[in-house]
Amino acid sequence: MTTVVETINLTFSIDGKDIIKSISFEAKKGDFISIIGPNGAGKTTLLRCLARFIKPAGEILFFGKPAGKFSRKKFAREVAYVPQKHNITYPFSVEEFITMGRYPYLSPFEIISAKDREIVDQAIRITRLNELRKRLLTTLSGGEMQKTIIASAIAQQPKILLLDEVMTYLDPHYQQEIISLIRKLNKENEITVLSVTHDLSFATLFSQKILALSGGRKIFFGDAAKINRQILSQIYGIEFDFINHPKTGKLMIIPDWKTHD
Amino acid sequence: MIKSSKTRFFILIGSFIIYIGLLVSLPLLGSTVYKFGIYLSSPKESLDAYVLLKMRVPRVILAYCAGAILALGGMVFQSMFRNPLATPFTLGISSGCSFGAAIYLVLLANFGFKTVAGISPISVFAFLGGLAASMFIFSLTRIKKTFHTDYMLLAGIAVTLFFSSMVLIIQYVSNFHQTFLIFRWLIGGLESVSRLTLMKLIPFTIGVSAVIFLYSTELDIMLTGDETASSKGIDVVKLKLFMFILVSFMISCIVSICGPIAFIDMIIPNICRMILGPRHKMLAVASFLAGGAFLALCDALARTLISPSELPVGIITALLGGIFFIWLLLRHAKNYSS
Repeated sequence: MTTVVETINLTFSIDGKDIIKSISFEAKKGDFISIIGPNGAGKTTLLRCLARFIKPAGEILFFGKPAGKFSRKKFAREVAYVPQKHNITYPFSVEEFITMGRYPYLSPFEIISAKDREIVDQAIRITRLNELRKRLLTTLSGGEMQKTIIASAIAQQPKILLLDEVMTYLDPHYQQEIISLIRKLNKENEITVLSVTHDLSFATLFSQKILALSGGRKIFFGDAAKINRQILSQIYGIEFDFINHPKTGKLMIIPDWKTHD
Repeated sequence: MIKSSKTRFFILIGSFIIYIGLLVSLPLLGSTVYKFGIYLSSPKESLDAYVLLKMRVPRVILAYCAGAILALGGMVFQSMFRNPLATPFTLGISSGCSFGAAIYLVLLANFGFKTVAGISPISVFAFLGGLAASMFIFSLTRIKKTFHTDYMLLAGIAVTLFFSSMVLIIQYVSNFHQTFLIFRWLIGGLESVSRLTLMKLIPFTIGVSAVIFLYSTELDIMLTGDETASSKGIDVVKLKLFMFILVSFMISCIVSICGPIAFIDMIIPNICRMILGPRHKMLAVASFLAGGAFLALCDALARTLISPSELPVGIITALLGGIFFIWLLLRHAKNYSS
């Protein structure tokens, strides 16, 4: 399996305080990695480093090449980023926004081609947004917006998908729709997924690997099934119950909220 | 915002027809109103035709160029920084120009600088002042690594206040005549333009407008936020730097010729955006057309309202623009996107 992302001693600090500290890990093609950890552990910072929004010390290699060697456009063909919440206040239509996902493939001042349109149509089909095509972003619900942003990321035809708590604000229906979408992209198109999440069951049910951070440091990186209570108690400071999914038997994790009354 | 793209297109076509219509008819207005037929008579034979072709037509063309550049500059800044208040004027560029002009009028006018190639020395100093202001804001925003809009707007206010105070100080210590000259310059006007300046200004206007038009896809994507834009493949820092330099340069050019004509850069692109939506292919064309025609219209009003005397056009734009803007804000409060 080819390594698609590799970080070496990634450190990012603000005003002398390390937000993440010498984090090294690698993701192989087709991996689904959940990044977990308490608030302030540096999960989002790590993701933002990977998306090249901020420049950390240390090295990030994409396909063996240093991140800085990619132009922004070339990079956007390899890596797409989906934020936790989006507030675009300008009334673009859903279709117009998804079409922006084709920008990385345009040469300077080029106009969208028929082939690009086809790829946009495909992204709309996969995400089942056809009916919303002409709707304005400013009128969408949270779930519809999240699907639109994912569709725009799909239009980028990336090899790596960075997800920052994409399910946090969604109802169970949209959660189901989006997780099956992401799983499909991961399985069928072999897109590597790096997903920051607070939902530990989400991490154990859907991802192969877990990267656990605490205080900016890597605490655990390995098979999702190998995560244990000690590690979780250590990083979150509370107890957890491990149970099995009633249908698949897969590991699920329930935080002990200390409300046994 | 009008939802049907067909209607939007027709509005644009209609605007273009009005644009041409005004371009031809506005020169006829003034202290004396001419009939259309005067375009056919030779300026050598008729004094009216001479006034029309040598004075009024250049003035309307200057208004068209200046209005277009001001509106496009405003549009670019508003889009780059996703804030309807972020315009070259609010960021202090024009106050820098005013400072440069005031310095020239009071301290350097006696040194006998000559007008070279249609560019007067006051324009040169105003231009330098504008560039200095924009450079100052730019370097301020670079001290903090992130190019944050709020930070920049605050810096703009600080710069504006600083340069305005400097101009006040200069006015205070200068003599009566100089004070009047500065005051007159600060109001802004389109009276003084040589043929030579105009011949440079027209291709300049078309050139920078074309450059901005070519960047409409990038500007569209910038509206989705710095991070989204960057994840869609835009080098945000580079693009902002480029646009900052381009806009500062073109606005300083215009202000150095016409003085700080207020409000066009804020109102026109905002109004166009309210009607036509956020996409820049249309928005850039609309701002170009509306900016030029609006400034020319204001200037025609300035020429005729208290004729045979004239009002400075800056007063008209500020008055009309302010009222119109508030009216639109109230009317479109629901659709208005900040």
